[in-house]
Amino acid sequence: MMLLKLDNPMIVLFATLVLSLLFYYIFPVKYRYIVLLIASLSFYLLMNSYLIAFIVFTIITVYFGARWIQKNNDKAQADKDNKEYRNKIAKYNKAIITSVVVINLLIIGALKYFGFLGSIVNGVLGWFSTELNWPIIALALPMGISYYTLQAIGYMVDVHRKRIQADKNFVRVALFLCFFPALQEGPICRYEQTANMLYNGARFDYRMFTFGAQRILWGLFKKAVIADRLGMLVSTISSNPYEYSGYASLLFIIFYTIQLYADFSGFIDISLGSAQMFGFNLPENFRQPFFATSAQDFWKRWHITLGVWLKEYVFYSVALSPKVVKFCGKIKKRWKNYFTKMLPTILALLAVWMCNGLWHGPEWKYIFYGLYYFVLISVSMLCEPYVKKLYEKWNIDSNNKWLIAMRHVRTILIIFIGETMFGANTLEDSWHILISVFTPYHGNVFELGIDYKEMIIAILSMAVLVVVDVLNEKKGDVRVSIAEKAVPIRWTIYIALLLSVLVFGAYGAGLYANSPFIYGGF
Amino acid sequence: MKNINISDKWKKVVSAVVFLVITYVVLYVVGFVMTPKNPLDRASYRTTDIRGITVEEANTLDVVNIGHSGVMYGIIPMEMYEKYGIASYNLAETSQSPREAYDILNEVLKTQSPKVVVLNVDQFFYDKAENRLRFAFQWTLGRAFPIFGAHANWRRVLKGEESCRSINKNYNFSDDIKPCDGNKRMDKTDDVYKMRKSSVKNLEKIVRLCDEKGIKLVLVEIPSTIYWSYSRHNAIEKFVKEHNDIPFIDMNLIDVGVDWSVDTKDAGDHMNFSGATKVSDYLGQYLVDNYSVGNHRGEEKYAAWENDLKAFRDKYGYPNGGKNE
Repeated sequence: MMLLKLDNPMIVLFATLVLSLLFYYIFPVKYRYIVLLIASLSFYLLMNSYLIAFIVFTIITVYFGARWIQKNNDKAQADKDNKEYRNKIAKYNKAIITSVVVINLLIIGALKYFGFLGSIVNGVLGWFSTELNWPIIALALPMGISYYTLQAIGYMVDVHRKRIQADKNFVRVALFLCFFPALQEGPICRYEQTANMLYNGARFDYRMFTFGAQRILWGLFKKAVIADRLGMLVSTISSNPYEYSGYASLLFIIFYTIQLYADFSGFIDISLGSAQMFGFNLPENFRQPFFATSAQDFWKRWHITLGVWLKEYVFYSVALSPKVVKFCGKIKKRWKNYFTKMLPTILALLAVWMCNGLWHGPEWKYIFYGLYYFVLISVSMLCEPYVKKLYEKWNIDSNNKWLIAMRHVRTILIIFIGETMFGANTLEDSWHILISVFTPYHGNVFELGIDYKEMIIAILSMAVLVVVDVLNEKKGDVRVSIAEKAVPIRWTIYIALLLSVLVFGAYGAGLYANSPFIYGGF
Repeated sequence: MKNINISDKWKKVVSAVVFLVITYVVLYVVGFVMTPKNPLDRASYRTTDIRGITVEEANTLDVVNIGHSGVMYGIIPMEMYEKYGIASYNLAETSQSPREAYDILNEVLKTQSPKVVVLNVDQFFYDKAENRLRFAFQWTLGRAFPIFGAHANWRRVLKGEESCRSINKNYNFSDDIKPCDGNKRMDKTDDVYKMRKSSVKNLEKIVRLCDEKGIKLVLVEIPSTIYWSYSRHNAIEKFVKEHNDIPFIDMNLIDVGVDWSVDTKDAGDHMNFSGATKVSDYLGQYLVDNYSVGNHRGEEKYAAWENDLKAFRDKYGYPNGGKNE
C-alpha cells in the first residue's frame, strides 16, 4: 500500500552508499576497511536477512580451504627435493580444492538448479508413466550467489595454481567476496584486482569521487529512463508473443537488446561509480558492445568479467587438463589436420559456453544461448584460415571499410538473434518472434505498452545513449571531455542529466512499475 | 606551495557547495512547477484511472469509495452497478494519505453530489509503528523534493493529458492468488489503538464536509491481514461513538464470504478479483438496504454505464470464469 518502500533494493543500496561514504571518510584510512565490511554485511542483512548464512559459509570454506592448501604448499616447498612428498601434497591439495569447490557448487546447484533438474527427471519419469515425481520447490536464492561463488572459486584456483599466496587475513578475504557495490551483479573480480585495494582503503580524491557520482547518475539514466521504459513494450510482447508479428516483433528484438544492455551496464555503472566514490577502480564489464565486429569481439565487450573468468578457470582448465590433452593427442596422431589441432580449443570452448549458458539460469533457452555462441565462435575459428586464403586469392583487403561495415551489421544481427533467445520466455517463443518479423502486423504501434509520449522519450534517450557510446568508443571517457569544459557548460550537463533521470525516469507507483535489475536475478 | 594547496582545496569545497545548492534549487523549482494544484491531477500520477471521474456526467454518481490501494483492489464499482444499479467511483489512489482523502473528496464534490461516501479507514493508521519510518522518509523526501511525486507530469506538459472514460471506475484488476491464513490480530481485546491527532483531525474534516453537504458517510475496513487489528477496530468504534454513531463496517469481523486461500492477490494485503467481487456484493447490498441509492439499470441517463459494463465484462469476465448470479 506504500508509495516508496524502504525495502526497495535501490533505496537500500543508496542509503547504504551514502551512510558508508560518510563514515568511510570520517575514519582514518587504515580503518576504512571496517566501514566497508560492516556496510557490506548490513546491506546483505537488510536485503536478504538470514540468507547471509550462505555467503558467510562460502567465505569461511574458501578462507580455510585456501589456507590449508597454502600450508601444504609451504611444507612441500621446504622439502622440495622430496618428489614423492611433493606428489602426495599435490594430490592432497587437489582433494581440498575439489571439496571446497564442489561444496560451493553444490549449494548454488541445489538452490538454483534443483527445479530444473526436477523438471528433466519428471520428464523422463513421465515416459515410463510412473507415479514417482521429483518435488519442484522454488528455493530462495541468496543475493549475488552467482557472482560471489565465481570470485570464491577463482581465488581458490589461483591459490592452488600458486599464482597467489592464500591470504592470512580473514577480513580481507571476506571483504573481497562481499564488497556491497559489486555484490548484486558484479563485476566479477579477481583477488589480486581488488582484495588489497579494498582492505588498504583509499584517500579522498576529488576527481574519483565526482567521477564516481557522475557514473552512478549515468547508470541511473540508462536504467530508469531507457531500460525500464523499453521494458514496458518488451513485457507486453513477451507475455503474448503469438499475438504479434512484423514490426511489433522487430521492435521487441531491438528494444529488448537495448533494454538488457541499458539495464545491466546501467547497474555496472552504479556499481563501478560507487566503488570510485570510495576511491577504487573495479574492472570494467562493458566496452561499447554494439561496436563489435564479430561474436568473439562482442564477448570481449559484453559482460567482460564473466568472459575473463570463464577463460581463466574453465577454458584453461579444460584445454590443459591431462585427460583432454591425452584424448586429443590420440586423435591428432590418427588424423593430422587443422581441425584435430583445434580440437582441445573447441572442447574447451564447448565447456565455456555450456557454463556461460547455465550460469544465466536453469533454463533451456540459456543453454541454447550458450551453444549458439559456441557454434558461431567455433565455426568462425575453424574457417579463419580458409577465409584468409580466399581474401588473398581474390586480392581483397580484409580491412576494407565495406567489409568492416558488413562485419558490424552481421554482428548486430547475431546479437539480436542471441538476445531474442535470451529475452523471450521460452525457446519456442523466441523462434516465433524471430520468424514472425516477416509476417506483417497491422496493429497500432502506440498500443504495444508505450504510448507516443513514452516513445518520444524512449527514442531521445536511446539517441543520447548512442551518442555517448560513440564518443566513448572514438574519443575515450566522455567524463574527461566534460570535465574539461567551462563550469557553466559542465554544470548544465550534470544538472540536465540529473533532471532527466528524475523527470523521465520510469519509476514510482501507478504509471510505472518499479522493475528489478535483470542481471540481479542470475 | 602549502597555501596554494589549501586555497585549491577550499575552492573545490566552495564550488561543490555552490553546485549542490544550485542543483537543489533547480530540482525544487522544477518539482514545484510540475506539481499540479488540482488534487485529482496529483492523484493521477499514482492512479491514472482516477481522472476518469471528471468525464462522468455531473451529479450522476450515487456513491464514491475513498481509500488507498485497498479500495482500488477491493471494490468493483461495475459489480455494484451490475447487481444493484449503483453508480459509484473509486476515489482511491496508492498510499492515499488522510489529507489527500479530504482534498480529493472536496474537489469531486464540485461536480458530483453523491448520496453516500464510503471511506476505508486503514489509511488513518499509516502513522504508527511499522510505517513510521517509511512515512517519515516518504514525507520528508516528498516535501524536500516535490519532483519525486510530480515527475510523471512531463506527460501533461508534452501535450495535455486527456481524461478518458474509465470502464473500471478506478478498480484495479488482479487475478493473482497468493493465499494466507487470515488476520491473526483480530482476537477480541479492549485495547484501543491511539490514532495520531492529524489523522483524527482529517477524519473529522471529512465527517464535517459530508454533514455540510448532506452526504451519508459509511466507514469500512476492507478485509486485510497485514496491518489491521482489533485494537484499530476499537479506535474506529470509539471515533464513531463520539460522532453520532457513523456506520462502520469492519469486514474483518463480519463474514463477507472471503476465503483467504483464494481471494487475496498478495497474502492478505489486497483482494483479488474474486475477493473484490465478494466485498462489492456485500457492500452493494448494504448500500441499497440502507440508503436510497442504486436501481439505475435501464435508465437513459446511465446508457454510458451500460456500455462501460459490457466493456468491463468483455475485458475481465467474472471470477473463476463463472457467471454472475
